[in-house]
Amino acid sequence: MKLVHSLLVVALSAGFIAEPGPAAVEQVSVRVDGVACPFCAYNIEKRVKTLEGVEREAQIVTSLENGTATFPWKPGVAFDPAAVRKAIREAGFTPRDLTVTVTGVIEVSSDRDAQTMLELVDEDAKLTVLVTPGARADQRASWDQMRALGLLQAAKLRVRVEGEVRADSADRPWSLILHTWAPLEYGAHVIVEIDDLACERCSTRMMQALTELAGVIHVEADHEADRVHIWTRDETPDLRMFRERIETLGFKVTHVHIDGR
Amino acid sequence: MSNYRTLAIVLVLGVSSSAVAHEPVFSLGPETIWEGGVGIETKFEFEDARGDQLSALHYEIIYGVTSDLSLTFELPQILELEEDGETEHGLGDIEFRAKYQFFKKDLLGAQHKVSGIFGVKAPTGDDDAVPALSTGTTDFLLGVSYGYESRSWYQFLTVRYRLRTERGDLDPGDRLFIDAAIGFRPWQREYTEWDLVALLEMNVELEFDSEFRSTTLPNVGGNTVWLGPTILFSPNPQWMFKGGVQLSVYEDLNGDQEHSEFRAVFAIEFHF
Repeated sequence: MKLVHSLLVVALSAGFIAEPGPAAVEQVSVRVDGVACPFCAYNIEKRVKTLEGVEREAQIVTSLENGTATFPWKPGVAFDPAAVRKAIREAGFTPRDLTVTVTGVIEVSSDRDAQTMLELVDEDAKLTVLVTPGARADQRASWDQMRALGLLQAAKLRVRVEGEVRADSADRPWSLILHTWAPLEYGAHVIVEIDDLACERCSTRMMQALTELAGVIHVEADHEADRVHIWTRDETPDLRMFRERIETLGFKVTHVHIDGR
Repeated sequence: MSNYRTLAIVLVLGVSSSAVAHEPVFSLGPETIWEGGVGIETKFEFEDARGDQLSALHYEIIYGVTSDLSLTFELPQILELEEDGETEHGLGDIEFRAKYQFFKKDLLGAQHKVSGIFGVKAPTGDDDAVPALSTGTTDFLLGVSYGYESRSWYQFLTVRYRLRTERGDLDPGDRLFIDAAIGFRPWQREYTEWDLVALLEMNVELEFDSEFRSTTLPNVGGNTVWLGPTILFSPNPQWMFKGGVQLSVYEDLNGDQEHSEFRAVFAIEFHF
């Protein structure tokens, strides 16, 4: 894991933390397979410039050697990775990984999330960690120090990113990245409906317990909907395991299912 | 039999071989254009068969319905068709083609693709002229083309079949084309830079027997193999200049026919 990031921990009270909006994408770089000649690469320029987020006068920098197309993204236009991939396909090529340069806020709910984020965020990116209530104030710390302080274990962090974020082909996690943090690759999204999830402290304890289960990538609790979302590596996780683990913590599970099935 | 020689020469006009991007210029390749893209090409064609000569301009426009499906319209203008001392010029037979790329495998800096080709040629030229500028028939083209394009190497293999319909008592023989080409890019260039690709094209052309009132015509049809180099040069990503020359390296023609000797193509393509 990369630990060379410049981390500025700004401990603020809840009242001073701006709500995280969608991260602003400043530049997009997409790796493209199938581009072999400059004449053919013109296809990419033509199709990419039809995107809402790309100015017609924008410079599309295509590297044949690296198989990449890089272009600026218009401020104020929501980034749509699916549209970028569609444009590449319409140009007659196959889109691969996307890398975006972003400025914005993503949320980190666990140490596992933090690790994943560090793997995706470029070394040179500037990360400003906005700590939610409960964290210690006025701390400047390295990532290791933050872990030692327990910030990454207990608190939900809001991390302001100024730099490049890489991801691969799944579209849904991409949209989540740009609004709030979520796992990038998963086999199944399990939704657990719980009778009364009002207690935030309890749910934090439950999320930690679920995160420790084998095959679990990420857990999020939705208090308003009385639901817990679990992302797993397996496509067919053992739902009974989740139910039993949650009930041992004193919650009553009303329904468990895999999203979309 | 000279009229049949004329007919054979005129039919060359119907054997469209306009290329898109990096394709052989004496054949059709698997290339399609991007969705919504438009390409225009003007091609000069010259062929000599021991004094009988053909020079023509072909105007072509291609449109990308999707990145896999391109439609092409081609209008030939015969500058001069000379046969047995008679010359004629004027518009030839127009052709409409559809190309559908049904297989594609993209790699980093390389692409395999296979396209199906369908074409229709309409008898819009003057077939009363001497020599005739049209076959006077509606003909169909079916083909399949494979291409491999990388930053350094090119390979093409195309098989085309031209189905020729009857014209009065004349039943012209169908034609089969087997085209192969290999190429390479001596200097690997980046986007916006000039680019050069050299090809070696070989074209096998088989023309089956023609019949007149159910009697096989003795001096029509046969097989020809062409071989020669082609250069594709793009000064920037929107323009391409193409040129190729070929010699007839093998001929097995029926009866008494003038032997083909030499042909050349020069084309300019612009896409936007």
